[in-house]
Amino acid sequence: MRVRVKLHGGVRSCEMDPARSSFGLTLRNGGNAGDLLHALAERCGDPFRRALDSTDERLPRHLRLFVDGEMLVTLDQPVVPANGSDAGVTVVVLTPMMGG
Amino acid sequence: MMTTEAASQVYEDTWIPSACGMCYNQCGIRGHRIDGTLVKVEGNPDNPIGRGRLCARGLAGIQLLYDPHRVNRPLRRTNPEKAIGGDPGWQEIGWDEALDEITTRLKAVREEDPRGLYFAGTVISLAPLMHALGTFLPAFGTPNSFVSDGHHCGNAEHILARTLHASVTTNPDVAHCSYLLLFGCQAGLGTYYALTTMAQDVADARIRGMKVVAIDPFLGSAAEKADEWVPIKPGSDGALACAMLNLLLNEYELYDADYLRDHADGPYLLTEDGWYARDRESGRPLVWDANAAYARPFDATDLGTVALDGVYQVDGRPCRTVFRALREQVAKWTPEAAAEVTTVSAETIRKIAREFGEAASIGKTIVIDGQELPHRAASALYFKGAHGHDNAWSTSLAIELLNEVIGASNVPGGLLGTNPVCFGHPETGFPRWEPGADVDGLLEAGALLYNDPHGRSPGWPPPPTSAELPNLRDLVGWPITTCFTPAALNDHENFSFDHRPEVLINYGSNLLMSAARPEVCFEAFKDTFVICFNLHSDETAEALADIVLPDTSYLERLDPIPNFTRHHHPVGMGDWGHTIRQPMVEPLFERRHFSEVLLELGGRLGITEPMNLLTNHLYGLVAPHALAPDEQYTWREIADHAYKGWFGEERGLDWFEEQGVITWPKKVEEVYWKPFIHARAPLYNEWVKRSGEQVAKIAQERGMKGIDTEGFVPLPDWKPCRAWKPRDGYDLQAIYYRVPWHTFSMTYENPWLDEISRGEPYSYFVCINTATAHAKGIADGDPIEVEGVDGGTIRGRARLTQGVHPEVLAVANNGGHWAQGMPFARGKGVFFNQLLPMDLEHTDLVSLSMDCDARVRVQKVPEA
Repeated sequence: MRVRVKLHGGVRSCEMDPARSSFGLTLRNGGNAGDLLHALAERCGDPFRRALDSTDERLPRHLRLFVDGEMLVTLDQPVVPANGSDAGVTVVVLTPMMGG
Repeated sequence: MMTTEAASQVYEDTWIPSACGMCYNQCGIRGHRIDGTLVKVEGNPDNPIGRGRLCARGLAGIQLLYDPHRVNRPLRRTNPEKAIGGDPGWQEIGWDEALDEITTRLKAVREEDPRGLYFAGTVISLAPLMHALGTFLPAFGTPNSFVSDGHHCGNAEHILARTLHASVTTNPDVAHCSYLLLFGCQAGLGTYYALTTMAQDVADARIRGMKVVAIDPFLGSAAEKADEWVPIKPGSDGALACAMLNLLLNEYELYDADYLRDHADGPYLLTEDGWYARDRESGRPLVWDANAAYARPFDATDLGTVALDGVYQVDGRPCRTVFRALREQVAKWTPEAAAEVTTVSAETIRKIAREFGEAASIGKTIVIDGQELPHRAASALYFKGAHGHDNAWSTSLAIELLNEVIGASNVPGGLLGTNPVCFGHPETGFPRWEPGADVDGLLEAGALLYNDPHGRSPGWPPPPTSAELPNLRDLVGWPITTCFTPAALNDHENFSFDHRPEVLINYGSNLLMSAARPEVCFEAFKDTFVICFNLHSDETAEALADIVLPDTSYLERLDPIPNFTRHHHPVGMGDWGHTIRQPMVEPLFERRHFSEVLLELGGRLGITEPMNLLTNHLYGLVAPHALAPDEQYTWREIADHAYKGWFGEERGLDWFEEQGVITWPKKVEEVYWKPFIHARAPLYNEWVKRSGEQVAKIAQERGMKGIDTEGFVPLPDWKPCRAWKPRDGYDLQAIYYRVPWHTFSMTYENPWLDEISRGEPYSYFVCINTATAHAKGIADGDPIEVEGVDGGTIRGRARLTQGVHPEVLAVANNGGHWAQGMPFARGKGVFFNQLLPMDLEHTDLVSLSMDCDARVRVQKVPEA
């Protein structure tokens, strides 16, 4: 099913056309956070892949993933429901706190 | 007594609970307001931070509120020529005009490349700083932020507080301590975290008999009250600590073998090339099972007796335990060798090491609230005096390991991480965090700064990935703060940055005075559009700002999290507390709260949605108290969401405004958590070794010069800092020390604090050892000039004293303001930072600590 994705913050530049505020992406029914990141890496290429530095079971430390306002914590958390019935899923990807 | 007639004229007489903001500690306060005027500020006895005690700075805060020299309206520069000490030609403008121009510029930057926005902040205004770092800047899309007073930050100490104590910083458990060793630190006696609380706790412990030994080049607030003052050559504390480790481990055999084997990586096996020996299948670190007589993963379920010390054959290769490696590493540091470096006698080193080890009472236990716990009644604490050098990492590691080898880590009497375990409020279970173990069995912090339920920075520091950020976060991401950004920008050809600063938002910091010598920051940002959001038209504003926005002081603003449990709160038993900072008076004139202005700017820039989501993340807000992504909230509404999310529907903003603080008792398992949480403290820092190799590789690939990775050592050692060694006739080391009534340079405009400085004999002078001064023909009160070998010259008057190391000049804090907008501070004290360059050569790359002392020579000069 299609989800609407918004890239904000430091990953905003990963979108090929930064002028666009959002874009659609297709995920399988029951698709989880790991599937979403994979799809984003396919779509956005190397700039986004560089942000995926994590190899463990958690989400990359430098990304925060919100689905309809709720933050996901693990890669196996669902982004879209298994029955694919909810067409209103909005995903926001952004970088967390930055400091110096 | 008030007359009846006078009393009838009083329409308001109230006390308001809040949090101080005159220094980093953010103690609990309450203010007395009569008829709309704040007449007094004092400590709040209901607040665990301070427990009613307040220092001179806090008491004098009222002078900041009513300072006639505050910036009260937005200002615009009319003189296009920017210059240090120049006249900006300020012109008052309206807020709308100011924000319209700022919005236009920020929109253009965000469209072109959001990295063109730079941000500088100060940790003194920590809550608004964190809100900017946590919401506005990442939502905008820039990683280019830094803290101008980062060279005063703990840096290396924070790294070790994280890896060894699962927290941001540490404090000693003086309630059960018999021997407190202070390396360049004044905990409970002058300055340091939770000062006002610790002052009472240390005083109580002294009455009980706790001995304090202060290792410091200057007889400052701690040393003058200590049982013993050990004057040491600046930058050599690591050598002293290595010698003490050598004595404890190799000569006196005063170490806690059980702790090192069961709660540290002491038994982990190391290969000859310095990596953990690992199990081929699981990748887990190996230990030596003495019963089975072969190496097995540390977490094997049926391990026999684990060997702490020794060298064993693993896959045909000799592997020594981490404990053995540590013993061998420090063996070269005999007391005599350390005496050569530190100027502390070998006899004194032996005495201190033995006293420290014996005071630890290894093997003894204590019962607290029904729990029998190890009692290690000795603690070694350190801060900027010890680690403010370009050997910061190895120095800090050496001192920290003093606690580790005697088992005095997060148990009664020892060094405690600042509240790394919290089970939450009894009614809501929030906030909650606790450390765990990573796949190698090593300690992993639960949360560090904010109350994100998932932990803001779980896991180990991120590995080096590149060198594209001027704050070096991508090259060395583990220091919490750095002030290195301006130096990197000035060295942009070496770093090959592909963007330049277009706009700088400078919040609350006085870059030109607080980072290093002023030319460093001026050069970095002289061609940038600079917005200063500050209390005064200070040196930075007058030299660099295009627009100045009038900030609220801490007495005029709302901060839902003014202080951090893992930073500012006292350690040890007692109460948890969550405090509000609220306006004691409404903002005067046209002053505005930075966080509120950021909310407005976020709306103007169209980034409210990510800001709201990041606010939820930062404060750990979940439904039903999470912010809706697309709604524009006021600052008060956000605070209300936060409080209700943490402490229940009935305890919103109104409740906190009335009550000021919520408290609940700590549990033994939270405070002395080490025996309860099975996670090992890393004595051996494999990650530092790995990082060093990665940094070197990145530097080589990018053709960067000056990246010295020699300091990326996994075990403690000592090398001289830049200022330690005499050079070219520059025979002295200049240091700054901290007095407890000033906060570096920011409080010099306060007349009450100035009165203290004028009333005591040292802090507006350059202190020089009496014998040294006589040898140079310098008399007390003479005007002198101090010239740095790496540039910079300062002038002041000599104060002869035996309370300073013979090879050292000591300056209090950082005075000598020159801004027209700070007339009271102008010319008071000595501008120490003029002596400090900022570059790779004077920086410890592991921790991004600057060398905060300078190799200098001094001469008497004619009266001006």
